[in-house]
Amino acid sequence: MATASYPMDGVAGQVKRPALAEYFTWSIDHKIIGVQYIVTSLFFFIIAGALAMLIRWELMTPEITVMADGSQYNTLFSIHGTMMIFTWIVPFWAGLGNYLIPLMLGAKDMAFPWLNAFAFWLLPPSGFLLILGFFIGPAEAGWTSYPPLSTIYSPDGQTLWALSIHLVGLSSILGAINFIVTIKNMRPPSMGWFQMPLFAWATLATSIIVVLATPFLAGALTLLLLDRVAGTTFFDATSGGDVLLWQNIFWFYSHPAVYIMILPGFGVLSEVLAIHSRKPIFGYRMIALSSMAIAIVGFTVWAHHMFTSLQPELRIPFMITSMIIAVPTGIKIFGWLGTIWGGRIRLNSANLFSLGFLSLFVIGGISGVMLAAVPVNIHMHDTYFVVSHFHFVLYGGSVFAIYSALYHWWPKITGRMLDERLGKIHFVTTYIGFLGTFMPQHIVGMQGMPRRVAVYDPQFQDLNVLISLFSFLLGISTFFLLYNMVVSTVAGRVAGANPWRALTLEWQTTSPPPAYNFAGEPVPFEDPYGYGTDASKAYLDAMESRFGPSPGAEEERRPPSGALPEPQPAGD
Amino acid sequence: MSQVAVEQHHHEMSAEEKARSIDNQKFAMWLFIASETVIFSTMIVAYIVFRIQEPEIVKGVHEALGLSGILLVTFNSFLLLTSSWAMVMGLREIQRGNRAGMIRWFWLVAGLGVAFLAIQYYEYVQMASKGITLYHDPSSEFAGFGMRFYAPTAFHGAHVFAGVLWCLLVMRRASKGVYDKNSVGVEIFGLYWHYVDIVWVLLFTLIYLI
Amino acid sequence: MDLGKGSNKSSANSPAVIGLIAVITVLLGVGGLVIAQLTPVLFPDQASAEANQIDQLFKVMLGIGGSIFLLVQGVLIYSIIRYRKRQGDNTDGPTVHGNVTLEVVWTAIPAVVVLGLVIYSYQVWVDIQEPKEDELVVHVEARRFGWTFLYEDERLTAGNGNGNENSNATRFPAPDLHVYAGQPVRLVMETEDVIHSFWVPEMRIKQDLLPGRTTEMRITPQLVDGRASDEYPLRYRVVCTELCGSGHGAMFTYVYLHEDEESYMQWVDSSVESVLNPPEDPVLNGMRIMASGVYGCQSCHALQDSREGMTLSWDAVTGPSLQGIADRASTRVSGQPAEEYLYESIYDPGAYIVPGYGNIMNQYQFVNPDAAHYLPKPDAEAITAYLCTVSDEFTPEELAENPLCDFDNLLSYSEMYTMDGMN
Repeated sequence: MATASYPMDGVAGQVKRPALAEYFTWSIDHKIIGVQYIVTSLFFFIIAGALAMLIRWELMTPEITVMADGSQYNTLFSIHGTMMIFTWIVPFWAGLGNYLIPLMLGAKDMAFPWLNAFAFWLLPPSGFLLILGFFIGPAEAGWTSYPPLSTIYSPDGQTLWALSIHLVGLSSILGAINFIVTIKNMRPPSMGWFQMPLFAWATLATSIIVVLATPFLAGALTLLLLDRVAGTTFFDATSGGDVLLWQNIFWFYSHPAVYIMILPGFGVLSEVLAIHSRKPIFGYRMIALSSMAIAIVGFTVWAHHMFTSLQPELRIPFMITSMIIAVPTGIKIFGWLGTIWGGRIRLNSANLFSLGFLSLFVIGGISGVMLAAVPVNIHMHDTYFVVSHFHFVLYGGSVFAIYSALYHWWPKITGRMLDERLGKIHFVTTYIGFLGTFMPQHIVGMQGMPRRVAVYDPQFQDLNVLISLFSFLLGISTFFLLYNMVVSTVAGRVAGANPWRALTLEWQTTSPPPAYNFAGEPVPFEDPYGYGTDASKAYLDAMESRFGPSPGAEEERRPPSGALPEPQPAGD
Repeated sequence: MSQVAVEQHHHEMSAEEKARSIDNQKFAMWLFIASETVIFSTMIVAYIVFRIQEPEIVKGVHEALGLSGILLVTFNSFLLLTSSWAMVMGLREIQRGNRAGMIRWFWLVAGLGVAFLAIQYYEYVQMASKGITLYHDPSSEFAGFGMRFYAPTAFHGAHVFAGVLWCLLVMRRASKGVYDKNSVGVEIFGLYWHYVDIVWVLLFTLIYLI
Repeated sequence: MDLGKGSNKSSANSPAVIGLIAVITVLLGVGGLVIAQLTPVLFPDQASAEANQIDQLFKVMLGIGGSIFLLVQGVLIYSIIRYRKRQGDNTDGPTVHGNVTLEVVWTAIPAVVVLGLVIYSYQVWVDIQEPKEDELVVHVEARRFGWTFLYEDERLTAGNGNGNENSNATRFPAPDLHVYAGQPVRLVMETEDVIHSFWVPEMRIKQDLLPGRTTEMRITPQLVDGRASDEYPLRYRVVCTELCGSGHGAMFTYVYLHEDEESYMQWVDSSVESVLNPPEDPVLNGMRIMASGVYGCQSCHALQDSREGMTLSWDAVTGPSLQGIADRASTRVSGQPAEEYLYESIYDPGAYIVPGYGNIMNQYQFVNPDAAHYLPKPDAEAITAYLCTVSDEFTPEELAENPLCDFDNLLSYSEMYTMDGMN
């Protein structure tokens, strides 16, 4: 298998990175587009994060003190939520998928490179439409935008909000079609469905959800826009409309959207934990198929977001499906624990964030099952308990997975390692900041503090001050990552083709990969997670002899001193 | 549709890669159609709910339209179905290598598409004159029908319009010989056009006949 | 200490391993039980019978969740310590691809647990939902950004002086909810504008109020453990939990939990009395109307005032403060006397907008008694008369000497407003 004829066209440090200017142009190279997505989404992450800091600043007092009035506060969390979901997590995964899927499958590019670029270029305008809203009265109905608050009672920014989400939705549908076609058709002949990396499985499941669920949002937004600008009354109960129609359509999309945000994170975890524990993934098929199970069952649980508005007798069926979905999620968590058990766990930044994900996500999962129970839900619904739950899932889950992915694949993307010391500081501050911010929110919510309020019962002030202080730490922690990314990309240690000694195909080429990714036809190892066998060792050694040693590997893996090539200046 | 730029950029494609590219494009079109179906279904569901809750209003609309109104829409549906047939004929010509024949049939496709839109516009004007408006007009006896009628039909009309533009593009590219060896671009347009046709049959049945 | 994970089947079945698994299972169970004991600390008072059931369900879930939490974190921390990569060790771990038995176990056990929780939750839900005998029906009206509660009372009839000629004629309004221990309550709720949600954290129950629909919820208030008799009536917040606009956070009022029916009836009697025998003086009557909460003024305005046994203690911030409004009323619109300004501000709130506030006050209707925002003309006149006396600059004696408003002009102005067919 390792006898493929690789020309020696790239040893570590010698592959040129694309010129910086290329990232600001229309490019149809999936690697450029991937980075464009990632950097753009990071930009919106910073803005949305700053809004979160303002929210926490305001909440240090039980009266309105920082903001001018309640409306201004409402815009903060409305835009914060919308941006974090639609212009940060969703497009980040699109970007990572873009960069990795063709590489993992040994393909030259995505199936439709032009469409790929088009999908990306819908993203910046949609983000800026959201920001533009601030100048004409921004949306203030929350990211869920329930009518009639979002129709009759909202300023013009709400229209921009809907247009913005429309664009993002179109972008992700086009991107998802591209992913599905690429994954189905562009694998090398020797890679069967069950030899695909699990990140590809996760992306496939995610894309199926996007193709089938996101259009519901598009339909709902179209009706909302008509209500706002054309005088229709689809959602106006005083004129024959129905407010629950919106909630049903919106959540029919938006609950699956939760899986759009977390499934790729599951995929990242499966890669990172196996590679950095030096063990095969435990129960490959169960983990792959549970993604599909989650995708399917995810379509049947939407109304658990409506337990306090839905007719009481309809609540029970949704409680049942919502609880059932905990089972495939549990399979994954236990599978990952089985993966690290008995391994050689590297405690580097990439793996720390994945392990951190495991420890936080399980809390979000437990609180999720609690919320699925109707009687508990009618107490917790729309309180800080819910805020805490979905931040555990989306921050402790998705964002930790994103961080893990960055530490893991940034060396592939840039050819440079991220600094480990900064990475560990980043992990510790993020983990502590996160727990301090979101753990007490469970209690505040149960005690009686609703979400989306700037004015609250003064008895909750102490806890809120504590939460805010930890949230500022969480905010600061992000800068360790950003600084690390900038500094390491310019002057980091050269990574080499395969610093982690990973078996998946994206590592069997130079860092960054050359145009069209591989020289010659790449031959995947028969088992993407077959660590610990002589065959896998031979495969990796053969690859190393082709691409040269990877100096980015951990200290201990370094060959005896002197054999290491000097870090070379950046390729560009 | 998006492959041109890529082909120019890439090195020469192998036969295998070309076959895969055809498969890719058709598969992508099916996925796109799945997505479109979901968007249409939100609007169709909004109509169905109204149809169930307010049967009297719908009945009133049918009576107001009268036999001539229904016949006109039936004729319009016939035009669209005919265009689908013309599309199939055109596709057959290009697969036989007859460029001119295909373009002739596709003029018919585009023409019928435009005729469909013209008649739909005429029908909208008629409806508006009877007080069926997109915005909610509480004083109208048909209050609530308009928005649930115009939203799906206009959304469909927009698809026909896009289809006519696409048809013209396909004709232009056919005249340059793009499809002489490989007619996948025409087939994909065909899939779309058939789909738009089928959606109309559904809307027609749902709105005018039931 | 190889628990197997399939790597070594014979050791996985050895008595020592089975014993170890049993010990760990017991430890996890005990740990879960300990965590579950946090439940009463996490929740506020249990002021309803439903709270007992919901807290118990939560406690069970917290116990099970706590065990799972300890299991996952335990395995995680143990693995990180025991299996961390050592300096210089460049080997891979064992090539274990999975273990069917184990995978079936960790699919089946959660499935069974979840099934049990579904059945338990279902039973609790059915209990809570069940209609009770002799429910006290309270009508709840929500609007941006406040609540009004309407109580039925047989002493009230149409035209008895409470001003309401519509379906509310046999109900008396209150700005707060009053209930007493042991009396099941059924709340029948409607919203006048956007979606709101009714929640009393201490009673655990929450229900949305949806435009175009009437929604219901049931609460059975109960005595709260550890509260002395003299602490009653207990006061808890009623908060809105569905985002409803700029004043969402400030949209709260109180529920008063009376210890027994006697205390509750005292409140009912005094409320009915004030409706049946309103003060002759229009100024005091205006104050009574505002204090009754029937028009929800307290939802958005601030005002501290106390007269003749009546007290207003409002501190809402959504609308402009009414403190000392009479002093400012004549200066707002040039050429418009105070009484005309105040009256117009009630009937046509958009006519003049106080800088810094939005045009979000209800547009009241006074022609149609069945309109959503019905405000009979006499009530508006009385409220205006009262507001004309809300002064910081002048004492009541000075106002009696030199009133800030011309009452005769008010009556003719209001007549003119009606003639104009406004609204």
